[in-house]
Amino acid sequence: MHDTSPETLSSIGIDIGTTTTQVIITDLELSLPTYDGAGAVEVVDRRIRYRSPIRETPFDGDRSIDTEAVEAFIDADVQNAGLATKEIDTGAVIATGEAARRTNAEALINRLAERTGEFVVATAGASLEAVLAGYGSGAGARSKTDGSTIVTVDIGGGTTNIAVFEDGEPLQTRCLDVGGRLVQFNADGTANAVTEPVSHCQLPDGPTIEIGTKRPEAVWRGLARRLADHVFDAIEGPPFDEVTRALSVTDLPDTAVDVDEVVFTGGVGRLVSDPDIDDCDPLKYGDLGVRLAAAIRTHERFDALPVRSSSEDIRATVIGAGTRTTTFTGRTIAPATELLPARNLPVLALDGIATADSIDDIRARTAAAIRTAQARRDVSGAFALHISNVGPLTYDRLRLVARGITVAYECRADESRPLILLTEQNCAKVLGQLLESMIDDRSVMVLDELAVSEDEYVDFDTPIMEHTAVPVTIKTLVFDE
Amino acid sequence: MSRNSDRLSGVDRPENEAQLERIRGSHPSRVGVGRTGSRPRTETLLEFRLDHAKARDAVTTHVSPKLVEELGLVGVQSRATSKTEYLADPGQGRDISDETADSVRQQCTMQPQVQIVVSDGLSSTAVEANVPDLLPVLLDGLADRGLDVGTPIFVEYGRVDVMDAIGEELDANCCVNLIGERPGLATNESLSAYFVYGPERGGATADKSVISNIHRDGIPPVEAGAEIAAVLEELCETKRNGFDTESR
Repeated sequence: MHDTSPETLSSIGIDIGTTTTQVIITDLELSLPTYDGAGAVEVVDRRIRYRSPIRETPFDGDRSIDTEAVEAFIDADVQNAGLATKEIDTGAVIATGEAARRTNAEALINRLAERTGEFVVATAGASLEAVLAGYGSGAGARSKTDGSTIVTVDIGGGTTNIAVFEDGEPLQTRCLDVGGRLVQFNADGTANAVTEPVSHCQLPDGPTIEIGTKRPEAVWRGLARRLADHVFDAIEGPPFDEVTRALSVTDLPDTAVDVDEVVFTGGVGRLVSDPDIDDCDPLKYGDLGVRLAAAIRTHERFDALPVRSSSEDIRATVIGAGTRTTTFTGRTIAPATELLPARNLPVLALDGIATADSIDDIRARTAAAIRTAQARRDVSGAFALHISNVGPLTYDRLRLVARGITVAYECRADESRPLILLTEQNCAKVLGQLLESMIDDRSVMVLDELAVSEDEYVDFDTPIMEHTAVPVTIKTLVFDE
Repeated sequence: MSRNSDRLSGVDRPENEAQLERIRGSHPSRVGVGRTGSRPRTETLLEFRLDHAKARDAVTTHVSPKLVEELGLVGVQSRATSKTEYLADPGQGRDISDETADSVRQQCTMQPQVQIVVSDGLSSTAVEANVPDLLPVLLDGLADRGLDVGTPIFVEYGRVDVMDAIGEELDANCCVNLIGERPGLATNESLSAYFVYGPERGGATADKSVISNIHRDGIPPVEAGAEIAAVLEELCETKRNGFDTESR
């Protein structure tokens, strides 16, 4: 695929959510190589080739997702898009909200990633979900062009994922256990499923909300209203009230932001934008979604927010997954064919290099990073060392750095893994050249123009564009917080 | 990347200072420089004229002979005998005289796999700013690859095609010409590396490939040195020019 059309990648996004499973397939058009190694490869256009229908996520009993049914959806979607599975170059499978907590979620998305394409990544995590929805709604890009601060609020079946974008970059996320499927109803309005987070919003002296209870409409509206209170609290805080903290699935930020715009997305978020939501049949989707959307829309704090609607409301997360997970290294790099593709490489920081002024200093810092890698239980295979700043880009400086790293590896007979180095400055090719000439019997790979941090993991694909750049996915792999 | 981080903003009391700084930081154009009535401010004008003067200097000054010696380059001239002649008659910059050709053949290794040429082109400043960092990386990179490298040459008043004449005289397999680019108001330090396999006088420009934009805010010179070594290795292996699409 890469050889025939190096400037376009086919990217798939698969979002297995609490309520719905969605697939999109996108053509990512890349900037053409210009022999100007200073310009990075960028995605210059994202065209959505195929949008799947919005389907109910198939569950197999209470505890697991119906793997076969999900696979059948995806096979049909790839075929409907006019593609063969092997033609998918990149993308992401994400299990979101309540679906991510099912017992087989991790195994399922890993399996889907492997059978869908050679570089499709499996990923999860409420914070990532929030960021992907923010990009997918278009708000991320708009915050860059407008230079504004935009808050995206993606309310789905199980969770509400809030991301704050400033100048095109995600600044914060806030994620709550608030969604349409917290309560599900029979056709007669009896609750037939109530999830645990509801307990946080029960009034101490109010009627209990349990499976099998049938309550007056005012009770459901009251519950929706209290959930809405916490959605607004999460958007507007800090400070946050105690119940908001209890509903939160990630750490809440300490600093408040001035917001220029708020965008609601997701299945429930889409209903928020409907001006007639208050008149909608509350049991239309068999859950609390309509009442929650109405409670948000009619809330007095809603009118105070600068709300703007998004054209990609319900598909925001899946579009983000399909279009925003792939980035690229710089164009002058030292890739090692035998190490690519590489999945789930843990990143370890190699700190203090910019100010280290002797070979021994750099050796000691590298040795410390290697010791950390050996001590961490989650680092079993290869890992990547990240240098945020090597210092001034002179040959003498880089020779010193390369020598220090080499000596550190020579001293560690017990460390046999390849040396994979990631830098932020454009210096991978020269560092690669230096390390290749100094290090014996060890694979060396240096890739640059990558901003990563220690708690992240990276996937690298095989090089594209005549070996000038490597597609990268940077992720926080924690499957579920 | 942006020169604007060094420049004063000329906008008094901007409505959104953070956004103005983001715009100014996003590219090197002179934006957000303010005005006095309908005219530029004195600082803006002086800065503009300073940058213009630096660009002109890059063209009209000479690469220091001391640097040429320190870098171990054999110094020659193109057919042009002065800067004035070179600028007035650029064709002279594409070739070397018979006497120079004789001298080059005497002083330099014949039939190298790789011949390195450094030329002032239109920016002596670019040569002085980048070649000292770039050349050692390039030479080490070529040595690591076991390539046979000829005696590096500096050509005063040289244009891109002067590497054809030198490569032909020395019977080199391939040549690289590290040459100062036409300076602009954003930078006067930008260097390019042009490549040719099988150099011969009159060779088509289409047969040459280039890595451009080598300077501290573009491709760092050390990184460019390593990249150029890799490109030269590929030329020696494929025995084909970069844009020889038919044989790809």
